[in-house]
Amino acid sequence: MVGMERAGTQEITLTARDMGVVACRRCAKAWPLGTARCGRCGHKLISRDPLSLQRVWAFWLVGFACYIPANILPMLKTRTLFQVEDSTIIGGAVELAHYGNWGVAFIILFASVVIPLGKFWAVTFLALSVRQDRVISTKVRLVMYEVVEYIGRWSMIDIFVVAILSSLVQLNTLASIDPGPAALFFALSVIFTMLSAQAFDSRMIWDTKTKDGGPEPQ
Amino acid sequence: MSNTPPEVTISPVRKAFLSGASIVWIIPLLALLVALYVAWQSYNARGPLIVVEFEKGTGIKAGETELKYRDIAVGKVEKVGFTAGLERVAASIRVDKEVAPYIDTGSVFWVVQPEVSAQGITGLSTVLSGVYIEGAWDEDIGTVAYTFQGTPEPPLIKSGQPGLEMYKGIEVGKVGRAKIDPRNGTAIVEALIYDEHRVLVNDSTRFWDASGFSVNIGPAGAEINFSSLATLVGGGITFNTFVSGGGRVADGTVFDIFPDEETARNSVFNASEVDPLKVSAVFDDNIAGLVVGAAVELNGLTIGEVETLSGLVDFDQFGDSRVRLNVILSIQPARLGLPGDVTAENALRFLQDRVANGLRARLISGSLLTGGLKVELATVEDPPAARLVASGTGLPVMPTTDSDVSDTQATVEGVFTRINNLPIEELLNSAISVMNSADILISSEDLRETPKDVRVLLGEISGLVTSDDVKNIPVSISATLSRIEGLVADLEEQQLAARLITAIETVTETSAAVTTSIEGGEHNARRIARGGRGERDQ
Repeated sequence: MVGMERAGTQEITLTARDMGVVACRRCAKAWPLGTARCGRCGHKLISRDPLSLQRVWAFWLVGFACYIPANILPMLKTRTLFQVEDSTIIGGAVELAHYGNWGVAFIILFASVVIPLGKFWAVTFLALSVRQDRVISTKVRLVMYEVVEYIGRWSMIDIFVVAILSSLVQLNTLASIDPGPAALFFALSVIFTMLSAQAFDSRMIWDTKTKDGGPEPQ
Repeated sequence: MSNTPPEVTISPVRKAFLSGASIVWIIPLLALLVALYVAWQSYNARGPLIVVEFEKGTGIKAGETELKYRDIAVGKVEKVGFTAGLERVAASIRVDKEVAPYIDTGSVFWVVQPEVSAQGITGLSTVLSGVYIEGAWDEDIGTVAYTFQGTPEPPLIKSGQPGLEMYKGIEVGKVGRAKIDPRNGTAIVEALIYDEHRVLVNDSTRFWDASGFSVNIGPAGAEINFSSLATLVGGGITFNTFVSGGGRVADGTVFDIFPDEETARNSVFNASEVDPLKVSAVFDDNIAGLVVGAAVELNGLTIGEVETLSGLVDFDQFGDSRVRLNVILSIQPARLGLPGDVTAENALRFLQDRVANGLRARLISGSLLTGGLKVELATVEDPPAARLVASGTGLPVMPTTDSDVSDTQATVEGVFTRINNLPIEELLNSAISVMNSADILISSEDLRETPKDVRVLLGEISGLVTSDDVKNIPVSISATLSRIEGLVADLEEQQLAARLITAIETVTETSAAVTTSIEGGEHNARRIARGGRGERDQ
């Protein structure tokens, strides 16, 4: 294909499949392509998981569906002597910023909005990119995948904040903080996004190139 | 590069349609099902939206203000807006599904906010929590309605409105704000009788105004009436059921409020549709003071009035030509409180029965001050046999007995006579002379000298007491005492006691002898006395 010029740097990568071997994903021993099971640990050997993308999309859908109520419904129910106040994730962050807690507001916004949205985008991009021409280099995509995998769990920071607040601030009639229904949805969203990212078979990142017929000269 | 293995894996995919699909797709499908179920359930559980229109929307907030029924939240305001043309405030309230059917056309809504009035403080809880909308509706499911007009103030059921409903001084209900009935221009006051006092009210109950107090001076004497301090200050309405046999009243029955108890009481009888029972009574003593309209009483209860008065001369009936007082009494059967039908016949039967047992009519004093008379039906002991029967075509004749009034008047007259006969002038004269004598005595020179004499006397006594002789008296006494002591000691030494006993014995013997001689002496004495008398007689 002719789209390779945009990749900038030319990569010369040789995949295991190109070499006719398949690595065991549990013990990392390489076997000849076509071997059914790892002779060392007994793990099933699959060079490319054909159902990987389906799992990615399935979990992605559930995660994204959960993310919508997580932002609409109240995350925290703050009850003081005179009033009950429900605050959503963004509403809470805005309120914190309003009171001058820019740092905390930023962390919450970053952990609850930027990271999840970034993950949704990144997983989408990765899942789509294995089917299409490369638009960015395979190395960048690999880094993107690893970042998504690593950072995904940190979205749970919001859930931790809610859990700690609601367990600490229980002063009976005076004031109390309880988790709202959004907390459940947010946790589910994070869990499913992580599952989605894990379901992605990262080896497929390299396959687009091979479909093009190997490394292309400049 | 070998492409063989992928070709092998592709072929089974084509064999079955779903074998290429991951089992993981079940998860989003499940999530979708759960979401749909929850959505359906929440939609299903959602109650209808009702709109309540208010004059003002004081404190009503969308998503916060609650609708309460019996202090329990049964809905929440979703939206606050205006009706067309900004005429009124429209609060859209989402009500609970279980309660919604009961909110029918008869429901009322009002905004509860803190209020301080003479009757107390209400709605205090709303100071902190903000206002809420209170609704009231009955326990029956009625015609469904979705738009309501909120009332500016709570209905009577919930309110602390001015005015009390008193029965025998106890608050048994509440009176609402007075309104003018546009149809006939009368004032209408809604009143509520608490359910536990419901039995007190029936359709013969009369209400009257118990506000303030009344002073009434009339033939019955002077009266100052007020029901209780609470009504004196705050005004109120009280009621009473003067006669028995009233039917149960339904909610919403309209009663008239009478200006005072007297009018209310009379109205019971005036309003009774039964013809009065008329009986005549002939009183032997024609006494001035009985007038048309005077009360006819039975055991102190006014049961009718004197309708006509006339003189009666009937030689055939009474055997002389004296003018007698013929009185026609008009008796209200309703006032007798008879069981069963309230009719004149029934009342007549009742009176006939009582007459056979000694009931008689007599005149008694209505008021000592004015000398007014009234007719009393009283039971007298051992009356001459009589019956209450109609004589020919005339009215039934009530047998009469001696009037009580003469006694009273005699007593009063007697008292006055005796007061009159008291020797007041003589008494006064004596008193005056006594006082004169006392005056003379007090003002006499001798008496005025008395204090001086007393002073002189006191001075002499003082001189005596302070004199040396008197001062030496204790010394002499103590000397005498020591001498007596010595004497006693001597006596003891000489064993005087033994001698004394002997002496006493001797004395005893002597006295016995004396007794005998006295007996003889008595005899002599009598003789002497006789002799003496004989000498006088001579």
